[in-house]
This record gives sequence, C-alpha cells and structure tokens, in this order.
Amino acid sequence: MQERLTASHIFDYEVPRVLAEQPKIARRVNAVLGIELIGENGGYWTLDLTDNPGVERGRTKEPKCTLSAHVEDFEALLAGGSIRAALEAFKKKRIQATGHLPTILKLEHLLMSLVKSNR
Amino acid sequence: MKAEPTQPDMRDLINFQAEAISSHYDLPPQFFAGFLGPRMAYSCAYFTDENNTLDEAEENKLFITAKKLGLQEGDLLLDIGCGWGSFIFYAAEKFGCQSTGITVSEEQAAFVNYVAYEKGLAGKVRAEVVHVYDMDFPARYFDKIVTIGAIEHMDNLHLVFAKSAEILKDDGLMLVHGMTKPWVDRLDELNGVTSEVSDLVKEHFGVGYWNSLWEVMEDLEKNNFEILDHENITRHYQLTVERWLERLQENEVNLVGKVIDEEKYREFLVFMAGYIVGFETGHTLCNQILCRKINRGEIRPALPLTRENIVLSSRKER
Repeated sequence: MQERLTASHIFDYEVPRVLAEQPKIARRVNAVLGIELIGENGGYWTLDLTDNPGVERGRTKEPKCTLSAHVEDFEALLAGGSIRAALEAFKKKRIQATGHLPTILKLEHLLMSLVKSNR
Repeated sequence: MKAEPTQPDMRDLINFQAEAISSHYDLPPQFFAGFLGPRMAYSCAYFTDENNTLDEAEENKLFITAKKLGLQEGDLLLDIGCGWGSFIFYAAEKFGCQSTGITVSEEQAAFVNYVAYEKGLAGKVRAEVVHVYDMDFPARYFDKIVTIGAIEHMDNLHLVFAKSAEILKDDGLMLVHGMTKPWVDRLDELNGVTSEVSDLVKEHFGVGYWNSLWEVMEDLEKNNFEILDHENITRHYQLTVERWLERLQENEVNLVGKVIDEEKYREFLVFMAGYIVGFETGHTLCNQILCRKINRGEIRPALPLTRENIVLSSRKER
C-alpha cells in the first residue's frame, strides 16, 4: 500500500517535480496561489502557476487566492483523491479559501496528477 | 455604461410571496434574490462590455432576445420554462406581447400570476403549470416561442421541438437558449464514461441533460425548423456567474443562518466557481439558436440580408 504523502513532501518535492514534467498544468491555472497548511509539518507555500512555474516556501508573491487547511485534512484528501470528499470538506469548512475561488478549483489537475503519479 | 433603474425590482416583490415560492432546489427565493439581478433571471446575461454590471447585462439579454425574435405588439409569445417570468414580463411591458409562460413549479407560476396582477398585467401575462411534454395549446397558435435556460432539464428535445412546431404559426420564430457540452465530452457520456464532477453537478441541480450543440440543432431541423442564427454566448455566461459569485459572497452575512444554512451556501460557492472554470476551459458552453418554422412548399419570407436585426452593439441601443 502506498505510504501517505506528507504536506511538506508534496509541496517541497512532488509539486515541483510534476510542474517540471508537465508545465502545461501550470498554464491551465495561470495564477499565483497560496497554500497554508496548519499543524505539524505545515507551512505556507507560494505556487507560481504561470509561464515559469515554481514553488517557494513562504509568501513570496501576492496570491490570487489562498487555500487553507489543517495538515491532516489536506493529506487525507490527497490520499483519497476524491473531488466529492473535497467538496464535503469545503462545505464543512475543513478547507478554507480566500480570494478568487475559481482559481482554487483549477488546482484539481495538479493535485490529481499528484494522486495518479503516487498510486 | 451605468444601470438605469427603470424597472421595479422583482427582488422586492418576492418578499411578499416568500413562503409561497421555492426553486427547483427547494431553497427560499430570498436566497436567489441574494445573487441574481433585479429581474430574477436565473440564466446567462449578455455583456456588451466587460464592465457591464449584472443589472445592465440582464437587461441586455432580455433586449437581444426580444430583438432576435422580432417581438411586435400583439405577438402571442410562449416561454417554455419561464422561471420567475423575467422574459414574459419584459415582452409584455416593452413590446406589448401577449405572454404565456409554462413551468413545472406551482410556486413560480403563482409568483408570476401574482406579479402580473400587482402590475395590472393580468390580461397580458400569465403562467401555467404544465410540463413541456404535456403542452396542449391549439395548433399554429403562437407567433413566437422562447426557451431560456430550460433545455438542460429536458431529456427529450426531439419531443419538445415537435410539440413546439405544432403550436407555432408557420414562419413563426423560436429561440432556444441553453447550455451544451463539447461533443468529445458528450461522447464520453454516451459511452458510459462518467466523472465525479458531472455526477456532482447532476446531484446539485437535481436533473441535468447537456447535449452537444449539433444534437440540439439536429432535433430542431428534424422538427421542421430552419436554423437562422447561432450565437455562442459562453463568455457571457462566464461573466454572469462571476457576477453572481461576487454578489453571493458580498451577501454572505445576510444569507447564511438566515435564509440558508452555511453548508448549502458553501456548496453554491463551489458550483458557481466550478461553472466559471467550466466556461473558461470550454467544458461547458452556452448558446442562443434562432430558428424559423418552415412552411414547406411556400415562399420563404424575405428575411433581412444582414445581421443588424440580431446583434446588440456596444452603444446603448435599448
């Protein structure tokens, strides 16, 4: 059984790897996003999903939108890979979003790529 | 271009009927009034400018729709799926049409008839609770038929257009306004390929059928309609839902815990955002199709040579 990915591993290693392999995914989003994960191994990451995609720790650029969650909730969602579960988590405020909400939804392609590549 | 408050705000009238009206989501109408424009038009608006307000774009949509249909005083107009009556009131008030709307919602019909009475338009506007498949109007009765944002709830467009052709006068015009999906996505669906997203959308809206554009046109042509014009208004719907989403977020404090619970509110946030992405990425499309009922064997009417009669310029025209 695949070991669950930690949030820090996802944003420090996995997301940069996927973006390097599939830069087209970033162009579909075409925005800077903030990811704020609270709890052990959490932190803040700035995802630049524009023409020169990259990930940096900390709030290094002004995000168009920010997704916030507890580390455990985020890791569980990514392990499950279910959009329905993500919707339920948002409805119950276990995922929070500020800024331009449609841009958050565009993360689907990136996150699903992570899920697939780690199955 | 600034909005001109020339029309009474139907959101105010809704408050009088609050208990009587419900939507197909079984949510109170005050919720929809919390993000829709003054006409309560729950469908794609029309932008002549990216900076149009929702109110302006809502008026634009009603006007361009009326213009395409060439509405004239005394026209007998049928609106299939009339909702809260935005177009039938507009047609009666602005063009002097005799407007009939059908809806499956008793509450919406009651609302339309109540507002018609309040406005002194009871002899001009009426709504009936009739399923589109059960329409039973006299043959060749209506001059014009319109259906706006309703085909997404109809699983048999062939039947809908067949019945429409029966009750439309020869050479009468019909305008079909609705969402479609690209053929590649439709083909996946026909082949049994489902996605979590499409399942969730159907659950959210209760029922949903998104054909491809050519399927809609095929059903029209097979039922004796000649396609006169097609306009892809997908970008307009994206801008419309962006405005709805902004208003919904602005009104959070007035809605959550008072009109709807927070989970339902947040569900709407996600679905509106999802639709914006769907329109932006071309997974969901929106169209207006104008067509004419063919009078086979008769001389084709001398229709306008240019498209001026069916376009809305960015200059104020209304």
